Amino acid sequence: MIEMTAEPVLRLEGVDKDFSQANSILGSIKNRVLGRDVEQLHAVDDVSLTLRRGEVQGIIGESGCGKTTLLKTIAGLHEPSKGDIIYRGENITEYTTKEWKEYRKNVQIIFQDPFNSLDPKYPVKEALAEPLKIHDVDDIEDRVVNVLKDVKLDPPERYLDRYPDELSGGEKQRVAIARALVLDPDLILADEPVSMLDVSTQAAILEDLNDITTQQDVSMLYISHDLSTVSYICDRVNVMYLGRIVESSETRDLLDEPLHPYTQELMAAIPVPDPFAERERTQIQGNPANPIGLPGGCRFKDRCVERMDICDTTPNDIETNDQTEHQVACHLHYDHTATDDVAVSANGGDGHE
Amino acid sequence: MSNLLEVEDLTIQYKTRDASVQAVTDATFSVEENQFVGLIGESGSGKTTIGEAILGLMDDNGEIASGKVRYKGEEIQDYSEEEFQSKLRWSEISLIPQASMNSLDPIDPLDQQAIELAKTHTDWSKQKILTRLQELFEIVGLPADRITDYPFQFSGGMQQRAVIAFSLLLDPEIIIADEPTTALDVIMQDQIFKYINQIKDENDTSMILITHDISVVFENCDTMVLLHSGHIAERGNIKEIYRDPRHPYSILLEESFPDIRSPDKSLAIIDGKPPVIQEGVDMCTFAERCPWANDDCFDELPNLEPVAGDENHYTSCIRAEELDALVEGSDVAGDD
Amino acid sequence: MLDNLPNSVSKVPLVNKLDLRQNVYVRNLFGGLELVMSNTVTKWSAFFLGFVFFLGIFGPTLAPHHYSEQFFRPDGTLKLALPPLSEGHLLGTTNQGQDILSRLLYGARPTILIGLGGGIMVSVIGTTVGVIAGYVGGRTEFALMRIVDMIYAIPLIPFAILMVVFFNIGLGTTILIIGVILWRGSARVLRSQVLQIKERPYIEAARATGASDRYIILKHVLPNIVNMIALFLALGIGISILVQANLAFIGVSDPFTPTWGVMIRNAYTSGRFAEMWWWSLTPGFLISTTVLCTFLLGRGYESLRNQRSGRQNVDSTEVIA
Repeated sequence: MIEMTAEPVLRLEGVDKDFSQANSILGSIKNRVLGRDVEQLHAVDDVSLTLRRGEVQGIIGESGCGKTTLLKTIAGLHEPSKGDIIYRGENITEYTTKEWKEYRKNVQIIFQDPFNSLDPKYPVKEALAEPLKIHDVDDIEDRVVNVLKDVKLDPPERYLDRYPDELSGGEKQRVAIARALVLDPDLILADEPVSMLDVSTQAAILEDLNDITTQQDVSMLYISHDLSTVSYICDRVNVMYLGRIVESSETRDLLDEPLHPYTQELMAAIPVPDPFAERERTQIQGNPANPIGLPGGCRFKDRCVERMDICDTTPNDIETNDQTEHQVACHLHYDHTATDDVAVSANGGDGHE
Repeated sequence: MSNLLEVEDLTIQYKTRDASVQAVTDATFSVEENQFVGLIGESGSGKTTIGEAILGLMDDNGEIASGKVRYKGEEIQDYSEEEFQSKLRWSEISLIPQASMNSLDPIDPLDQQAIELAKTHTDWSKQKILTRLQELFEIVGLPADRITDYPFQFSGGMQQRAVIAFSLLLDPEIIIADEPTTALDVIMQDQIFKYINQIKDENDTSMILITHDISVVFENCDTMVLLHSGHIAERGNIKEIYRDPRHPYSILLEESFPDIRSPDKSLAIIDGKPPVIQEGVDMCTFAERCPWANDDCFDELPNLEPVAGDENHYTSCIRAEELDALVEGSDVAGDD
Repeated sequence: MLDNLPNSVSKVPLVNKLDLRQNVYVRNLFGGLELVMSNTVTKWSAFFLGFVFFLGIFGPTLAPHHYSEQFFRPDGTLKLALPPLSEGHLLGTTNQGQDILSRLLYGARPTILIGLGGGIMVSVIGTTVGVIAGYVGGRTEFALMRIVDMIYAIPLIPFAILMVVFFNIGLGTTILIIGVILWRGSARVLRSQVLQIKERPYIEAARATGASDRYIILKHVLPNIVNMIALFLALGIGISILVQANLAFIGVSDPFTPTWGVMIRNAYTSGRFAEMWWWSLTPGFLISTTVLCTFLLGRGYESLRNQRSGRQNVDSTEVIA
């Protein structure tokens, strides 16, 4: 149940995360002394989005597009180079230590790799008790048993004393989800939690995540490279390419009418489980450009079928297209006669939400 | 069309410290010329084991307990390592292993590796090898002038394509590809299958595609073999099976994949996990997970039988005939 | 094929701080012991080391005589240079009439103390430096690793000689000399282990939940490298004993405490090294076997663990200083 009028759980405004390419101490000293401008890796570039209570939003993109970095920045594992991350109306970059602790209680993360997301030295009950102990929560026993039931590891007593290497991939991932849920968070950040699992396990876990987010009023940011799973579980989808969000829309709308050339290519490339369907292979060539020291302009221009001159010279803007808040950052859909100053701020789109 | 490769009643066992595991039971299928066969299954289904067994690449503790593998009429399951090397591998049947980007030697440049590979199995001249490598690079969409690069100078997707080029180097009849695109994203996967299909058209090559992704199999393969706990559940022409699946596992598996054409469809959940077979199996491997199993299903391991007399479609479900009615009556499969 | 469910399930108490068996370090320890006992080589190495340790504690009590006591025959002559099993001396006598068996037993204690002391210093300093460098990174890591590099440049024996010139030769000094140099290898290896572990999702998960660095190091990093630390402890003990013997042989140690190394030195300086073979053989045998057992135990344990987890860990051969 998405609450449309309440304060959004999470708002990102122009978030940047850059990694400097100087690898060593000597390297960075040298650079500073010689006054050299170090090339930056713009892993996340000017990302803005709004996540409402109870909403599940997806971010899809190829590996290396920056989605994992974005997730970790929201989780507080990286510091944003620029921009604001606003959680329930408060800017987290201005948090005190105490406020950070509270934030970390309410914002939990699920990782992609079930085989390494649990410490092999601790049994399940201790892995689940840990977040509770860190935040001084009482009634640990009850919570742990209940959360195991929530993730369908029933009866819970069977799993409490087991070690990670005694669990299957699917069971491990369920424990990881349980760990994320045990503190009753507002927001879950999920990094492709099912991509390393078998198909039948995937289906079961996706169903359960669906149930959990609906029943427990948790918002979720779900990142993946697989549009099929993302469209199954997400209310809204953001498409990311080389650090930038290029299209954003309600799921159904995106699938019915993808606007950005990259999204179109992505959807065209998905195999259809139907031997009778005739699908045209993707025409796209090459690989995403090197994310270090990118030239200005649209980042997709070197592979875009629809490329125009204007894609070179001006930076992109997100433009609202219609009532479903379908936004796309592409000159094809931008009304260039409307204003002279092409650098319309992103707020032009986000304004009425 | 003659059969290039025939696998007949193949049973493979692994001996670990504590017990033995029967990874494959009575597997029978064939590969014809210019044919792509999809070997589908979840992890632990035995699909990789079959691929390894054909080329004699199983670990030391694995052995073929019974059955035959015939290549161009000749039995190969008992070949010595030397025979595999000289008669079969790379020149007749090549392999694209799982996580294949890791199978490239990081120390040598690619052209050196190709030369070494070719010289082990043929007496081609260095010139011939390099020319061929350049041709193959072009076919898979890699720049031909980069054959002298080291693997680390290529991205993951490019390394994958380099491995595909290598697998074609000696113009084999069959390529065994084990999850060739799992680590790659969907655009790259599409590109690679485009090239693979091009190769099929130009070179008449056959392929055994081992994967868990049925979409990819439905799109690219001619026939499919569905494995569950090492036993074949259903086998046959792709279009036949798609139109008329005759095994509960096939039906449920298809329904458990999210389909982008209908994102709101709820997914089918298959209970339990594929059982690990120890010494022998005396019931249908899918029985415990099957919503339509009856007592007979627990009696003995069913054989593969043709469906309604169709030579191209086999199933090992004893209730295959009644399956339509059974599925209709339950609501396990997703609703469209 | 499906597991059997228990008929009745009782509620398991979850949090039991006082229950030591729940402690991860204790679990590691018992698990490790179990592993050691499972393999013949490591088992017997451990037993031998246990025996040597036992000698270290009870040696002087067991010795039939004092180590510096000289023995006379009834007619007043010294029982000099007697071969083993003669005149009541099981292992013979020295060229000054002292009982070799007694010297051996008395000498066990300082030898082992130095071994233990050196080994503990090596593992404690090495772990601290390695973990801090690996976990904290940045300039701290840079600085610490450069210090390690500098220490690598110091050759042990000449350094020991130099120290002896300025300070007294004593038990403590010897331990100090060894410990201060040899931690360099374990620091390097442990740092790379920590670097690997730091990237694992369960560490990131703990940080994302709000755990402090100290908590993460104690609860997640250390337990996962504790096996390597134990390995370095074993190797450290072995190397310390060897180095101590080396130093003793060239005269850089207290000549009055009959450590096994000193006994070999004495045999050498007597000028009758080859003739009185029994004098150097017994301590030599004990030293080599002890050191061999520490190595066998350490490396054997490491490979047993690797077999079990199937992961490639850093090879400890890098550590040999």
